[in-house]
Amino acid sequence: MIGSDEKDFIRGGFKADIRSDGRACNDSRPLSLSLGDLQPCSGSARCTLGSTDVIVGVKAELGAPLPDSPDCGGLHITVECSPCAGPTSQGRAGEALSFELAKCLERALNAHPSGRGSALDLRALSIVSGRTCWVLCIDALVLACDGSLLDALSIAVRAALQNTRIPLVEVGATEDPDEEPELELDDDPANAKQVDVSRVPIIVTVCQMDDAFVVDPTAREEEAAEQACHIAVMPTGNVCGMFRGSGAAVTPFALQEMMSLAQKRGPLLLQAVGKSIASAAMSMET
Amino acid sequence: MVCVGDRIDTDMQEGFLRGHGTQVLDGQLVATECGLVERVNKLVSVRPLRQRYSAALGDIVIGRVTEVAGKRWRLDIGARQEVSLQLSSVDLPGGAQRRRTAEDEIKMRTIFKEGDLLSAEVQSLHADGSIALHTRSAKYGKLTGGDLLYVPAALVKRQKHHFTNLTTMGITMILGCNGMVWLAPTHEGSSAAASSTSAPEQTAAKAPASAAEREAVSKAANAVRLLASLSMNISPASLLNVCKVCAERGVQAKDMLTASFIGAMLEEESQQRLQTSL
Repeated sequence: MIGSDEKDFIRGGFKADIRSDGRACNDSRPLSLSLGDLQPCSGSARCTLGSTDVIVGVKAELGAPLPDSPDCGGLHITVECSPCAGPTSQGRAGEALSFELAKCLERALNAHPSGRGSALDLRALSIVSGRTCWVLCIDALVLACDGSLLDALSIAVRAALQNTRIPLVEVGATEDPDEEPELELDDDPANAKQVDVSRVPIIVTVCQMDDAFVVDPTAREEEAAEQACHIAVMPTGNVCGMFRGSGAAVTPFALQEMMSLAQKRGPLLLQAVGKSIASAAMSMET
Repeated sequence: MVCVGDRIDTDMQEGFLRGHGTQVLDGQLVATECGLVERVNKLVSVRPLRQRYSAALGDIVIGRVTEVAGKRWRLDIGARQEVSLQLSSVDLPGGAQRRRTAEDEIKMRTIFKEGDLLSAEVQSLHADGSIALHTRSAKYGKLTGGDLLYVPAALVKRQKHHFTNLTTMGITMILGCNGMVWLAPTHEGSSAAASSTSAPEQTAAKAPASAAEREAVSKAANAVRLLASLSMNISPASLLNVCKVCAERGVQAKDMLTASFIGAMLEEESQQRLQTSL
């Protein structure tokens, strides 16, 4: 809950290009990433964006592909909001928010059920066509929520996927094609293969207030703004998904403006993420 | 200092009384909360590090109106139980001793409405744990044209002055004992709580904050955030200290929460503490 006077002050800040924490409208908060925190997972990452804090674990499991896409691996995304993350994630409201976040992430990652054109190459996860494949279970936990949740989640998902190592599987030869082939897992981490994340998008949240457009809003700013859009951007700068938060209707002009802002910001954010991943990997080695 | 599940040493005592945040397991006292162990005679309890605000008489707090009820407002100040502000404990125009009429009750929303922020003082604590506030002074009342921050209540110590004018920065700061901090640019001729309830028309006439004022507010706000993230006491002195270090190093307001400046601040603080201890 936020009063109308506070809203006016925050909105005035958008117009003056000085926000509550001294940032300009197109500045983002300090980002930090750590990789491999969750030992039992195939890959994990924790991302803090200001005081928003999320942790993502990726687990690779053996499973059966869906009947209509026998050559593709599977992808499961769940998001859970810790009840202590904030007032919006307590009780039933938290469940609805978790579901919404999971759907957004899933749609950003998985453009088409056949695996074509999707951000992750699901065909690389296939082991035996129509029989066995890798299923990537991406589980995210929101630890603290202070706005721009989808930004933090998408960065953490990308980093966790980059951190994921999938064991090499050798398929034993069988004489009868109907027979279940024998699978041999190679435990050596040196032989494990990586997931190709070159097309995995990140989501940029843009808030609008009159003619001011604000990136990386805090929870208070999200509440004060007229409306918010979450735009999924590929590393190339192409938009590959868009989700609307609650709020007023968007004008076509505002939408254009938001998209071009997201297209500019996406690659910049990715550079910052790349740097963070590199430094996190360095600190892991030492 | 104990964590959940830690054994609390009771060897020195023959018999002990189990207090808050503890549990007896197999004849041993175990903490059920993270915090500091407190011993009063035989009573052993754990005071949690983070807890809701527990009010004391005369505390200055900042609250948000959540409901306009019959003859009173309900407020959220982050306490455990209900907090109310009676219509009779608010200064109304036309003299403090005036009787509250039914007309006043109907017009309550013109004074404070839902979502409004206000500063108040704790008037009384009831036996059932509920808290009553009052705003019977010109310095209390509605807060407008500034920024609110939430910090752990334990970081705001009770002190002589909770309303401070940081003249060097041109900022008025209200440190709520409940962990809410209000920062607003100081305006000419206005008191700390910029508008008292007796003059609601003043708030409308107030000019919006200029860019320089906003810059100053955000600088102070980031200083408070920084202090809170380091779990350091929040007082006018500590805030000005952060701003001083910030100015010495030429750090801009938006870069105050980066890891490098937090490190620099810690270094400076440890050096200062070393010097004072010598």
